[in-house]
Amino acid sequence: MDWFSVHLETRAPTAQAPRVLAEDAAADRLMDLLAGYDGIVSADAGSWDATISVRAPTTSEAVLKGAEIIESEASKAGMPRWPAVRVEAVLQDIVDEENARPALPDIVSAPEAAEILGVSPQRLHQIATDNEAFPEPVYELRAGNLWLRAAVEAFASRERKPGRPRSAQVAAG
Amino acid sequence: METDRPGREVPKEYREVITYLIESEGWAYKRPRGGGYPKLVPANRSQSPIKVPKTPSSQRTLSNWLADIRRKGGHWPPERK
Repeated sequence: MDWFSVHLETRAPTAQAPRVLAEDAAADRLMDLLAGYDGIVSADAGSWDATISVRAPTTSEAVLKGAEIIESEASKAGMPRWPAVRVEAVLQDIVDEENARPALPDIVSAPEAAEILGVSPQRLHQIATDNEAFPEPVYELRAGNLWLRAAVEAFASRERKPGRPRSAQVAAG
Repeated sequence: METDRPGREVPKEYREVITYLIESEGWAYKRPRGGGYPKLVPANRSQSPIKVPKTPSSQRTLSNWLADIRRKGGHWPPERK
């Protein structure tokens, strides 16, 4: 038996949302009822969700067990009986790993991208404009573009051909 | 959006995260009026506010709470480069 984190999300039927509010006191009661399951509740107009921990032999059994506990306790707490639109179970160890992992993408500005390619910032601008294989920026700010570091590094390694100087290869692109 | 500051109504390990999210990521915090649970309001206001446990809880509760913050667009631990 392993520990799983089970997340269940509900939404009000389209005709009701977002006018219907999950009552705050009911959400507080659900927090109390789920405390023994390491529960966390979120609630707002037109939707509510809850996350608990359960022990189960498999992921699919964790989904069934977790959803049943959340729906049963939500009913006791007086939460709206909205349909579940998402249920997922993740091994608790994986959740901990994911929580420790950076959530923001590793992005670079033009000077850093130029450094990766071994060219000047001016040449970088030219490559980004003229070379269709160069990655699209993930952000286009007034202060300049930002690219995913991994995408720029992948471009650099594709452009790096044996026997040719690095700057000349990129210039040829 | 106006925000309260987290105090002793929430455990220390939660307070630290809430303070960071308020100061660095535009989240808001609402103390309970009465006996309810405090709420953490995501910077993306279309996401549901997350209830905050009021008493020291298990590592799994903290882990589930942090996972919910990430699900709703928050980041912890802080990532500075």
